[in-house]
Amino acid sequence: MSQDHTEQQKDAARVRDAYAELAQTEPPDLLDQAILNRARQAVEKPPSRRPWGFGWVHALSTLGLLVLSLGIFHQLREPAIPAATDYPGLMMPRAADAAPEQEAVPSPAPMRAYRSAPETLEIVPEAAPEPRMKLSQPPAGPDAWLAQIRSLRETGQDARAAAELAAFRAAYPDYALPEDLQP
Amino acid sequence: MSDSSDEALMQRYGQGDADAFTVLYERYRGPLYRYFLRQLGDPVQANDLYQGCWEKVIGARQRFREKTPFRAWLFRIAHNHLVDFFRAHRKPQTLPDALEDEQGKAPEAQLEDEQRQARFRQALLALPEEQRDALLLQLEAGLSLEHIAQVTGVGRETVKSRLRYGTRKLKQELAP
Repeated sequence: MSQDHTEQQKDAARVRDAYAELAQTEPPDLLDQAILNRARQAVEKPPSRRPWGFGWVHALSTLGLLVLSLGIFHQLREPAIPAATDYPGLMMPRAADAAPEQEAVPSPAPMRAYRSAPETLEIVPEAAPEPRMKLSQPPAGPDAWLAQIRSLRETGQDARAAAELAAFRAAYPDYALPEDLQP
Repeated sequence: MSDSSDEALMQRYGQGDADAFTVLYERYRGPLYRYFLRQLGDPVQANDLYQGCWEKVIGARQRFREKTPFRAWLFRIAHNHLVDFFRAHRKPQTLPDALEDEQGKAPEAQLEDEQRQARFRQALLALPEEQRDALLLQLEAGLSLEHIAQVTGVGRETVKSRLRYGTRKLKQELAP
């Protein structure tokens, strides 16, 4: 048993020596480089995506968007604040500017109406009372005013005479009315 | 870093230290390459399997645990890679005589050495696959019986038996 074991050890030693004599062949250099590069790439962090990667492309596209946005904004804004030369009808009413060729230019009617509406509303209340102002405007004194009222009655304008008489009484509440004008 | 253990280097590589891999690679490039070369007898196929084996190592870098013996771990990957190859392809072929040249010897002595070594390589290739694998894991990789058993997935006694039969056949080729 031990002799067999010793023989086995001798055989193993001979084989080991014979194997050790074999050339120490090594992998080609290119293979080494390929593997080492692969190993390094595997642990390298992937290049972070630069927020401004392709910088000039980004800059150009951003600029283009900006120009486009400004253009759209301008287009939308033009009707609201029209240039004087484009929409002369919107200009302040100056007679000298109302040349015939400018009148021919179509004016943005809705905008003009919208913008002019408040002006109309302000003017109308002042213009409306004009007839009443005429009626209520007292003559030089109470006697003259009463004479005017008599004249209205004589000419058959009873309603107007009544309105003037009411206005007279409001203006002169303490004045004693003559008998012919008392209600 | 060159004093670090294989296991520590592999662990560091798993954590992203590429230089640790370079040191480790330098230690094992020769033995691993010859393991494939002498299993296959074809340098082209050996190159492919050698590269493929390292790629598996690279891919498994984060699964490596420092308590695992690196040498056994590496050759286990190599062994499995080789078994897969044999399953998918073919048995090893005879090794060309001029494959592994020796240099720097007198022509006659060199010729005699070359002839002896060629016979030895042929005998190695002629061994049954399991015996050759066990012998190369011992002679080239330097693994212990226990580690060979772990790498090949068989018992320790089976490994001893394979080594014994393989050694006996090779000795016959070495006889004058």
